Amino acid sequence: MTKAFARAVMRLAACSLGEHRREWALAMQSEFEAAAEDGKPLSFAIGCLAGAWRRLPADEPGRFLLANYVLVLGLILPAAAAMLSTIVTGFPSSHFGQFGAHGALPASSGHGPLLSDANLSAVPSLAVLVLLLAAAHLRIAWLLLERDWPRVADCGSQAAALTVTLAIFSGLVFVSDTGLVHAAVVAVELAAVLVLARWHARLRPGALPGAGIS
Amino acid sequence: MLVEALSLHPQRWRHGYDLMKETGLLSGTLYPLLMRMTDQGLVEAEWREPAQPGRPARHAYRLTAAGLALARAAASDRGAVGLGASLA
Repeated sequence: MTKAFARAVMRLAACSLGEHRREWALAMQSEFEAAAEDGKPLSFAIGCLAGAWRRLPADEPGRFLLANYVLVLGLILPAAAAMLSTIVTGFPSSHFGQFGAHGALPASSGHGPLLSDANLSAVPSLAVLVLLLAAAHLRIAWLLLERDWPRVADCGSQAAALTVTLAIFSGLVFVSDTGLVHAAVVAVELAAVLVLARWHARLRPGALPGAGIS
Repeated sequence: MLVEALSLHPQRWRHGYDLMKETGLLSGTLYPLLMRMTDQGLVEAEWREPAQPGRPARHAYRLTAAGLALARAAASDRGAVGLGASLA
């Protein structure tokens, strides 16, 4: 069990070193077996992971990797989580008051001042749009970590289209600025993705096939 | 400490885990040091076939000529400091 966990830590250390340090990742992994025979696989693996993370800011490919993870873990995933939470707990807008999945139920009394029976029935559609946008965020996060820029561009276009639809829908039906908030978040994310893609292209000329990001 | 350990037998290739045991350095300290020294041309690294068949190849390290010169310069500096301290 300990050895299996230590192997997982070693794999994480190898991924953290990045492509430019692949030989060192293999070197650490080859010494892991010697450490395991000595009865110290976990301390060896944790040391390698700490060393790999310490090395990250030392050179540009490492800094790119860090920036990639910061964007995914610090912005894209929290945005997706916030969107998913609004579906359940209610959209954070004063016009809506407190409603969400439970607010759309007939027994709920969480209606805001601009809601009527007519536009309340549009809440499930709004929820579906937000759900699709959250799913697009999760897909962009995954593709970013794989540096699959053409697919990131495709998914980004879909997210932008969903955001525009959401902004128009919530603006017309609910007279709400919720869609604009989502639009601002998506705009910031896509701008950051573009910066990262260009940085990656500078690190690895030819990494961008050309059709995706310009 | 690492330079000292590698300079004891400069022609011999040493594996990472053996260096850890000899110097007392943890893997999180040793490998960043080895990476930096290799980048600076003080250490050279190569893959060596394992002593036992069926085992994976292991990465081994030794000082380059530049690394050995640095080790000797550091050792003579330490000797001069020690001499100065004992005379004071």
